[in-house]
Amino acid sequence: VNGEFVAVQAREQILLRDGDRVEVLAPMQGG
Amino acid sequence: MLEIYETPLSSRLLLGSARYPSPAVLAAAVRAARTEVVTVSLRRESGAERAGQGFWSLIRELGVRVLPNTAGCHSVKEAVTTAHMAREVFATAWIKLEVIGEDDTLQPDVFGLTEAARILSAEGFQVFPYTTEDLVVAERLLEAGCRVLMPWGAPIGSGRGLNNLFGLRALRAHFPGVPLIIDAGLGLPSHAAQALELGFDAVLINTAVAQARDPVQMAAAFAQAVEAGAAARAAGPIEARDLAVPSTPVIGTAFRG
Repeated sequence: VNGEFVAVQAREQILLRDGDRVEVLAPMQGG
Repeated sequence: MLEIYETPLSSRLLLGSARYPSPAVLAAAVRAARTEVVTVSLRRESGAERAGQGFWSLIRELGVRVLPNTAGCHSVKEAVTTAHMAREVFATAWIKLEVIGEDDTLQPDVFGLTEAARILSAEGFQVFPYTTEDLVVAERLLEAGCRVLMPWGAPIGSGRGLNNLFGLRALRAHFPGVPLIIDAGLGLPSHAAQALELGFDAVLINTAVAQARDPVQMAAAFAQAVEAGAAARAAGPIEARDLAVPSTPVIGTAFRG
């Protein structure tokens, strides 16, 4: 959220507000 | 059998999953390589995209163990954060730790690497550090908690093979009990065979397979080379010499006494 990693166990403590930027991570190819 | 972090591995070939022409070719190459470990990475994905999930489904269908990497990280903070994210996404304590220090050669920043390895090992990660053949750095990484080392053969994607034979031999001799995996720079199956013949425990290949004209055939060739190299090492190769030694006995031949 807003460039900071939020671990699963910490998600309930995060209250999203208008304007927050949320990014989702996904598996990708890697070497 | 190779054992890394208490995990037995029957294959000494680890395969990267990037730069293949298609997911189908990647899957076929993984099967042809008979590998048990495939490296993966992370990326940001918007809510509408689901490409990452498709890739993840493919990897899970292959039944391989994943080794997430921190590719592209240039600082300790980036690498440690990426490792945290990878542990959640991939549900594994394994992490291939890369802290890049120089963009032309992608040479690891061994100072940042050692610091990140110490942090992650203390947090319970099982760290696979992408490093150089430097003996002192290797010692520091082991002190930091690493129980496997991944020295480069040559710069990533260069296909040059084992650039520093003297250094790599010294590394192998200096740490006889530590699993050593050549990571990066191999271009041909003969390079992989040479690494195993020198006593390295395994190799990690990506570009040499993925960018070959026929990645599936090349994956199979690397699998055979790794097996041949390991078998040759076990068989005890002769020492190289500067002068000839007749293979046919000369005593008693028709023209010599």
